[in-house]
Amino acid sequence: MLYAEFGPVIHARCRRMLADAAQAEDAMQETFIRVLGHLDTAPERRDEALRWIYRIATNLCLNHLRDHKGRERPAAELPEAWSASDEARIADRDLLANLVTRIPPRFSGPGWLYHVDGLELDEIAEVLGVSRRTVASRLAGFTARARKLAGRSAS
Amino acid sequence: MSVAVKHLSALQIDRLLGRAASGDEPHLAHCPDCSRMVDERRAVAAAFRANVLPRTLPVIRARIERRRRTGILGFGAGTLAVAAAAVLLVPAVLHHGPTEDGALVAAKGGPTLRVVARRGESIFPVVPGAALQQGDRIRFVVEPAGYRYLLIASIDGAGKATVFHPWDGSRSAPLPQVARFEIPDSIELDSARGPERLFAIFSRTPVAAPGLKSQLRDIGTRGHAAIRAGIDLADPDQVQLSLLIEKVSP
Repeated sequence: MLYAEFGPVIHARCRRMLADAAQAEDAMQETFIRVLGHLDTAPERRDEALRWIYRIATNLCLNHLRDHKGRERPAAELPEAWSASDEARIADRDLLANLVTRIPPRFSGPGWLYHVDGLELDEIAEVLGVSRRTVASRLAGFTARARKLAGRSAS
Repeated sequence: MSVAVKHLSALQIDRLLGRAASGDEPHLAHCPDCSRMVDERRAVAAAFRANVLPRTLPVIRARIERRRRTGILGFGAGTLAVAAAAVLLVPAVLHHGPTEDGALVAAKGGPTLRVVARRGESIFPVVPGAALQQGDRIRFVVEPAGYRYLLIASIDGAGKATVFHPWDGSRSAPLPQVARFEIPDSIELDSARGPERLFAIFSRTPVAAPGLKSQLRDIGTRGHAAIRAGIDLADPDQVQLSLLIEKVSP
């Protein structure tokens, strides 16, 4: 039932993160293989189960983006100087995919959930299984590293 | 002064899929952007169930089996055995032949389901495609084969999904670990005509009924042909046995 119930949601999520249909389907399948490998820890409530599977799928897709950073793919260039409008540009999937390959996972995960998926801090905390305070700290870390990368690319 | 519209997050929208009500409906009523996104996601979900799920479920089962054979990390011993057993027992088969005594079985050594009907003083086994009538009473006899939980539900020609065992329950009922078990109480069939497909889901952990009923209603919305064709709804760690009956006039 987990696959039939949550498969559509996770498949669509992987498509949004990875863009490539074949890679997204592979990530989706891997997500459920991992889910089935840890059924003993699966939450029973639907909302909690969804967040748990969301976390697995998000981490898998972020790992995939980092693993494939050397390969050619369409990606927005990093801005030469960081401005407030760049905060809005972060919501652009390609730009964030570029940043993900350069920023450690514990910062890029919250960054994606916040800037692309539009999750609130409390929601991110629920998905990642950490405190709201930790999420805020990691988002600040993500922004700081993104600004540093922008400054580096300009010099 | 204008106020920026706060849209639903990706997680909130994903929560809405498959749910009758979530509390976010007031926002959808006033936000065409989010409403459109929910509609798009629902269409994608329907396409997934119709096309991607049947194609990828056997692939996932095969990948689980390969990992079991090569000892790849990620599976606890118990779950690994379950997943592997499920792959061996349920090779993405939608239609199962009956055994010599009429029981449905997915694979040798796996759980079985036998349906017996009573009409007046007459008692007879229910075979796939059997014609049954309003007032007929059916009973279920199962061989758990080590599976610890059972959920039996049906979708009828009127689009109604019913949980038979546990009766109107919210999740699977525990199965006694015996060789053969006759489920207490019989079910009296109602007047809905046309095809009705029974789904018996054997599992190691309880299955939530609302999710199954939602999927059955999806099948029902696609008409009698979809009910007759059937679909494999089981996760790779579960066994599904499915039986089609035809409700006819007395």
